[in-house]
Amino acid sequence: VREGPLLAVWAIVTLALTAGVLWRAESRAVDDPVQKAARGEVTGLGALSLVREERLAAGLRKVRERWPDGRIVGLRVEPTRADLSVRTPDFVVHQVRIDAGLGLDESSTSEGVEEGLAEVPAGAPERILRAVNRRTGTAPEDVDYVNLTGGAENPGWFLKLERGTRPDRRDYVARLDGTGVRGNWEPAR
Amino acid sequence: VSISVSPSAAGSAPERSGPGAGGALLILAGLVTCTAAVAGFCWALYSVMRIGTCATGGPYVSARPCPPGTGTKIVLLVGSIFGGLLGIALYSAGWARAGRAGRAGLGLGTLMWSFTFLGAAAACGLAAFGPAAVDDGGGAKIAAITLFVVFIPMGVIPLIGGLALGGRRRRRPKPDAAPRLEGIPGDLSPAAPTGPAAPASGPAPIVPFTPMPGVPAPAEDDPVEQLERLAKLRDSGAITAAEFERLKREILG
Repeated sequence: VREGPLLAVWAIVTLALTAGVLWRAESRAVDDPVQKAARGEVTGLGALSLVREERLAAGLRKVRERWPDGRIVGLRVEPTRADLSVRTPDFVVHQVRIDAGLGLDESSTSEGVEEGLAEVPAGAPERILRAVNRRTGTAPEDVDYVNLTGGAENPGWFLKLERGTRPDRRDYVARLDGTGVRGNWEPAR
Repeated sequence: VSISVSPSAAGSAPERSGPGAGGALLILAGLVTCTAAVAGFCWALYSVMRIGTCATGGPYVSARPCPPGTGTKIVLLVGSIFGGLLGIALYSAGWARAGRAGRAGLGLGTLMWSFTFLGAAAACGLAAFGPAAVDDGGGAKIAAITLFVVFIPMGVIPLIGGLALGGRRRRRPKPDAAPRLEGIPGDLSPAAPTGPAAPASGPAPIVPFTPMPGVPAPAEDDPVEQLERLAKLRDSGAITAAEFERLKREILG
């Protein structure tokens, strides 16, 4: 056994393997929804946006599978992510994030007694955003976030535009099912 | 002592003992561990560079949350360094079983160092300029570019140094290029280095004996014994009577 040729073979294998690993990771990153979100390629009502009904429904389904008896006490939806607070029957509130690839990540837990909702209509954020776009002439990409409000007693939605209109015309509210969209400055009908 | 030169042995390489089955396994395990360490380190560094800055934990919504697996990648980043050290240790232990030290110049340690930094530079370069590069205006891209610039010389310089050192060793005259002399446990080579530190591999050459100034040479044979040997040569016909007489006069002074 001679050491020189052995090291030469090892060097070639190591360099090839390392290059392959890096290139494969880079190739995956090109199509990875999370990386796309980081690059700003997931916006508005694009195919991967969590504001879209089918994407949010898929994410909420994963949450339901993980905490079948959980109740949603908070939900904030952006195109690239959704942040939830899920309370389980033992009064533990789980802070959960759904990323653009529909991955779940629980960041922390606390205690809470909020009643919460057993089901959230996943199509409401998209319906509200389209209504606001029609009304204001803005684009779907102008949305900042859509937030669940009111708790279990008076649930509804709040939508915030990031740009596209005057700063005092960027807040909108709607009912839980996404109907009755109006400006936050307007009186309830 | 009769010393004769064996033509068949002239120029042949010295025999070296192999590492044995156990040693070979250690060497193989060391090389595989080193490969995994280099590839794992570069992948982990690339992944961390892709993540950039992030924060996780607490009841608040982080603007840049850490994706799942971030902690695992950081652990792999640090752990692969220790994995590489373990691989080098296994590799050295394998060769030590054969009684051989590591190579001077471009050995596994130098290669590991260079490949780790060159791979890290590639990972940073890919994170900064690759097809999936994120240009979010944050510090991650600047950090990747900075590390890319720093890591390249850290990998290249030791590699060049190791190659130069290895080349210098190869240019030295090889002791095993001289005729092998039978009857002594080594080579009797006029070209063999006479300095201290012979190369680590192969047996040390034996230098021809030269009397030091002031030290008396070994005593000659007894004149009577020399005359007796001469008489035997004359009686056997190896030398003539005239040659016998001439040599006898030389011996008697």
